[in-house]
Amino acid sequence: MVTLNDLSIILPEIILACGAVVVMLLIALYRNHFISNLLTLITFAVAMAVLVGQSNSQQEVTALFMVDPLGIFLTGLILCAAFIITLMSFPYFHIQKEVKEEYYILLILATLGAVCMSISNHFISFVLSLELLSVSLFALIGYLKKENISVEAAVKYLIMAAVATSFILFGFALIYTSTGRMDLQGLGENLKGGDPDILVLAGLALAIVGFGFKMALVPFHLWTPDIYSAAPAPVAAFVATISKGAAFVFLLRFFYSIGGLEHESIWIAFAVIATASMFIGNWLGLRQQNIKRLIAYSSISHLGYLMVGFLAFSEAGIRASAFYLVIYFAGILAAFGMIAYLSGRKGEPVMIEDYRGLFWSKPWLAAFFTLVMLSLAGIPFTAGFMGKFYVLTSGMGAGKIFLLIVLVLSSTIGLFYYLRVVATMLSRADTATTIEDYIGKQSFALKIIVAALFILLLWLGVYPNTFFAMMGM
Amino acid sequence: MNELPINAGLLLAGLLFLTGLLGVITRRNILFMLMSVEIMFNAAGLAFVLAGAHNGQADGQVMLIFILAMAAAEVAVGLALILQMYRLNKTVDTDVINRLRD
Repeated sequence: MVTLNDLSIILPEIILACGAVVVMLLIALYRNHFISNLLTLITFAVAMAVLVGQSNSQQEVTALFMVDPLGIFLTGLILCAAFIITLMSFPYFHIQKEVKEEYYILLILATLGAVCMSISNHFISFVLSLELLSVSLFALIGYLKKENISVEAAVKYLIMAAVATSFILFGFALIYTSTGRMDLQGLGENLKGGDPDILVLAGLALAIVGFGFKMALVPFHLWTPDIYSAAPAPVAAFVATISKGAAFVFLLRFFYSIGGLEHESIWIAFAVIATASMFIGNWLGLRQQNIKRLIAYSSISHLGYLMVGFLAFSEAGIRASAFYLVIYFAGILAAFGMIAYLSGRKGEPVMIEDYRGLFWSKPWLAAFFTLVMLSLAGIPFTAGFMGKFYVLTSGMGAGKIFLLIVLVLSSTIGLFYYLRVVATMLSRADTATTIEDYIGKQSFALKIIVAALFILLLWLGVYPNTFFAMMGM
Repeated sequence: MNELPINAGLLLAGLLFLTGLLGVITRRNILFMLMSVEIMFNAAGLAFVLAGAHNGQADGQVMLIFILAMAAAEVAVGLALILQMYRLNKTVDTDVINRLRD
């Protein structure tokens, strides 16, 4: 039975669902890009306000959802990221010759899917929220439907995501055959301690393949650069942050509750995936000329670092992963925000060469972009360094020395391509292509986002303790 | 009632799943790829129904209904995108439509 109390616990999700309906009805009555955008912002803000007012305890809402501190934290993070993406989307889509209003319905629904996924406690709720997220994303990626590459990317993502989902489904079916349970608690009681039988192992393997696709871990990463380079910048930011973060949290919840990492074979499978992601992500990033593809490879390696926190298999590991997610979200949002900032009617500046000499024409923007790149690379006094530091500490506590060595070595490789972007911005070339007509010029919202993320990246890098105190870590 | 031959059923579901996966990998026509993905979904659905019957619960059948609804939603969006792709390129062959690469 669903009680009134249950409903009050999942109020943020209900508000999001209502927000989508309200925006949809409004479009039927009166089409206006600004009002749709504003309503979306209000929806996210109200959901966030309700979330902040809630108690930070562990509560079960039917068998389907489990609202616990990790879920609440992730919900807040996703809502903040969605708020920023909405702000970013307004100037970006305002200059497009496309019908703009429906974008916001899809954005709210995709966010709802991600939020539900991060509090899912049952196979059914997970699969449904995954689909809500994915199906909205297909439409979002192909939203600029006159652009050939955008539609091509959407179809590609559709096929890939559908295959990944069916892998997860088939894996879950096998686990369900063996255990007879679909809720994570029941699975935990069934599977903890004893040796899992062959059906469960096969099911877990299939599920890992599916999760690997969703989180773009090597060797299931092939779609990432294509999708990022072809999707509109705000949507690419959404795919890179929110959808990956939500999938990661369910993976964490799933494997921690069934104690899956206690089994040697499963742990090794994840360790191999994490190692490959760190190395190959950084390695392939080296030869990229396209900045969006570069960020894609960067995000692959970052998910690899995140897996180190996951593999630590401890309380500290969860905390380090959550902190790393915040920093990863901020870094990727800032990078795509920058691309959106400098995009104009002629499109986005996607090649690294487009940024040549940026430091001499727009010093503040270049300084911001430098900070973002350094943070993604993990240089001291930026947020990225702090994130890596905590992940390393958690790995150290769990005694996973091999993974730590891989993390440090692969970050060194990654340093080269981040610094190459910075060097290109610094170089004073005669052929400097100055970007003149860009949307950031007129947009106050974009300037605020850039400034806020700048401060956040510095603050988390220099003095993260206040952040921990705020989050009650 | 006789004991359900769960292994035979799972084998059938597994074969269906592999058929679908093979189709996605080898086909070059987007429409056939979409159909192959549907076969994979339905293989998972079949496995859920079998598992539900094996465990004596209705959950497996509930899951099947959700999977059917999900697949329908995916196909609706997928066909719309493929239609748009056909309008832009006049083909649905993935070898021809391949602009996204390094």
